[in-house]
Amino acid sequence: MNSQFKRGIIELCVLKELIPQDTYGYLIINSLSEHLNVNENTIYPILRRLTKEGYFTTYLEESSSGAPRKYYHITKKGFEYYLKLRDEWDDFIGGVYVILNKGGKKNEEILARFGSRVEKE
Amino acid sequence: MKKFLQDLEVELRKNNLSEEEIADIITDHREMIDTAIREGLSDDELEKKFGNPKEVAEELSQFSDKKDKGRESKKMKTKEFTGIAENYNVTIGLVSEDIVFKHSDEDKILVEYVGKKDLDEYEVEYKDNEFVLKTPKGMRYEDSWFGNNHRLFTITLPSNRKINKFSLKQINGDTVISDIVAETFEMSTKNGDTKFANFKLDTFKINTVNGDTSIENCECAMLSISQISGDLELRNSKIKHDLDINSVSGDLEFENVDCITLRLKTVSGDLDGKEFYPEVVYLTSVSGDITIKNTDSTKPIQVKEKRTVSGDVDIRY
Repeated sequence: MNSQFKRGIIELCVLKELIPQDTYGYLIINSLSEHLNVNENTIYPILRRLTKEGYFTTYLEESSSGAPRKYYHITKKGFEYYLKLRDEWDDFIGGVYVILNKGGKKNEEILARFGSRVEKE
Repeated sequence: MKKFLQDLEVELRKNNLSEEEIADIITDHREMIDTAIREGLSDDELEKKFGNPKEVAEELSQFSDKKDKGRESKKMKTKEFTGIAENYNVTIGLVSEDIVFKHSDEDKILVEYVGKKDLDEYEVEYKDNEFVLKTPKGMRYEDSWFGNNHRLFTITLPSNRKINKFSLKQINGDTVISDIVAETFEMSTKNGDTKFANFKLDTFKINTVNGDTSIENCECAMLSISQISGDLELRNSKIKHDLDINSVSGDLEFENVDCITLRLKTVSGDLDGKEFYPEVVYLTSVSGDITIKNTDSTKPIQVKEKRTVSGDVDIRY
């Protein structure tokens, strides 16, 4: 997948992870990689960049093991940015699905209807 | 995993990050790796989760503070050049930046930039009577595919100086440019749209692929247009001699335009003219038409040559 495209989507997901609660880097990586094929290489730079741009603030808190952990907290600016990206994403993906679903939602339907067009060649 | 941290540090240094940044990034990674180890991840799992230090370092270097610029360095957004010669040249070559031109009575060129980059990352200078603004080869844009990636140059030119040759190359960016007096103006763009207004030139050359072009109030000796699928509008303009057009599928819309010789070569693009008065017309096309609706019948239009498969020339008064 195009890396810029992917980065934009992950950015949206990272923002979303921080809306319900403050959390730390490792946890964000863990919870995103449960659903998506991503690792620290993609997520950490996004966390750092969004922090630099004022969308997150960070603070340290002692962990159970004693070592301090960096927590990320979403700012008002970050929240507004999330809402904006989310709207753009919904618009975009909505449009994509309208296009993809023309003539059938499932691959079987598409295959039954149009498969013969390909075989003719 | 100690090796990961060492490698990361080496890579960050290679990318010239400031010491504070490096220390901060390493601390963050040590914390994340410690947590992962405490959770009992195997070496394989760790490697999968933390990936390649070189990649992270390169990614991080795109927006991190660099050593030589220092921590407090603010990104350079404007530049000014003084001592502009009576006659000078302008050369612009941009990739994904929009550009707008303005004018002032002051004897200087002012470059203003809006965007995430540092103006110093561009090639921008005034040297040997030439103003140059270029996107360096292989510039990386840290764009998200949606969100705000706007990059805009505003260039203020001195209105009391003459331009010999103005060369403007664009790839994706849009251009707005007006009030230019120059001997030669050459413009080429791939996808960017362009708006010209109030031009006085000898030679005017336009080369586009997909971008649309609009020209308003232009006086020139020769205008040559080459376009693939972009459209072109030309209004209130006077071409003293030749108007040469090559178009594949792009259409042309002319209003209030005078010229001596019109040579149109097109595959399927049409030319629609209103109050358009060429003296002589040459048309070579596959299916492209020329349609002209005029009111002044004292200015006849002579069709010297018409080589076309299904195209036609239709002139009405």
